[in-house]
Amino acid sequence: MVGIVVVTRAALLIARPASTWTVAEHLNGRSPVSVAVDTRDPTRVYCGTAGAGLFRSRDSGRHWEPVGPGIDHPIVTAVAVGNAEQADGFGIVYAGTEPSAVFAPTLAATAGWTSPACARSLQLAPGVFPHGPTRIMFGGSKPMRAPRIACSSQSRLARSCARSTAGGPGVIAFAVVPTTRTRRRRTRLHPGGSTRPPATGTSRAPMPGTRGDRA
Amino acid sequence: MEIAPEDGLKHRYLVGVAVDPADPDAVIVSATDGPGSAYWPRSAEAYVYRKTGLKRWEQAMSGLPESKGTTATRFATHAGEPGVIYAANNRGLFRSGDAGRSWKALDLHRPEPGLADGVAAIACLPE
Repeated sequence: MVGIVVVTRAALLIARPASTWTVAEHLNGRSPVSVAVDTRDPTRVYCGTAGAGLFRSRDSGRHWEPVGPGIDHPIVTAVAVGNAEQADGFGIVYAGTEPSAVFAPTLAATAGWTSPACARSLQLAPGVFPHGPTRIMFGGSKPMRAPRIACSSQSRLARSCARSTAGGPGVIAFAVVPTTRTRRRRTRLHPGGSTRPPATGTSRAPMPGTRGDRA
Repeated sequence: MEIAPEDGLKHRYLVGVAVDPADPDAVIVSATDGPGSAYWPRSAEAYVYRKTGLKRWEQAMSGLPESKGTTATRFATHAGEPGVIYAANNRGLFRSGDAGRSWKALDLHRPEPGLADGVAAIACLPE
């Protein structure tokens, strides 16, 4: 059984299974809003906050350090870790911000940040989503291209975004759609085998003053 | 008769979404009438729907708290646990072992987790 990272407005909560579940609080007062786990190295966890930038843990969430300097905006509404690309042996981190922008490290994981040109046309705070072995998907209020993806928006759910306006009035969350059905019996016999690790923690909260905020 | 992709969804403001790691056709979403009933506990009324393949969406609330007063649920999955979906909202943390058909609350050890204002995001953390 895995642990669970839960982002609330007050703190980042980490529930760990033992004889009973235990819950630890982190980043109190930092207004966390987004979270992602590096599936290559799950000890690396990233948390975006509403005002304090991006934080990183290198020990499965037990301790946290700011890694946001260089990201132009302190409101990190979405964070994702690429599955294939690496910097210093770890997955590349993508941070979606408000005002709308997406940032990724330039060279080493935290040596500096840049905004990919492909993401500069996004509107509203974007969702960020590692898709497949080589691609990162961005979702804003404009339509995007993604062949097999599920994303929830303020008006609809789309599974084939290549031919639909998945962004609609604003993407709220993404989820991986496995490319093939996995037989449960086989997976039990070979845990961690052929099933691609899903992206986690791509959902984000509406930010005060944005369209996703209270009506 | 052809079924439209959103048939069965009585609430169209979608917040959380997850797909069973073992079955690309099994999708689960949390849904409300709008943002006012999604994020704020005092006015919250959120539902969970499940869909497989080309069938209609159906509510999948078995084991979850009643919709009234419950904020929009966020979901997380992990490839190492096919058929398992975790869910979180202002009422607690939940686990489904049957890809969202039914849910069971996790027995969280105190101190009481601060979920009362709702959940912004959730992720699985392999140990």
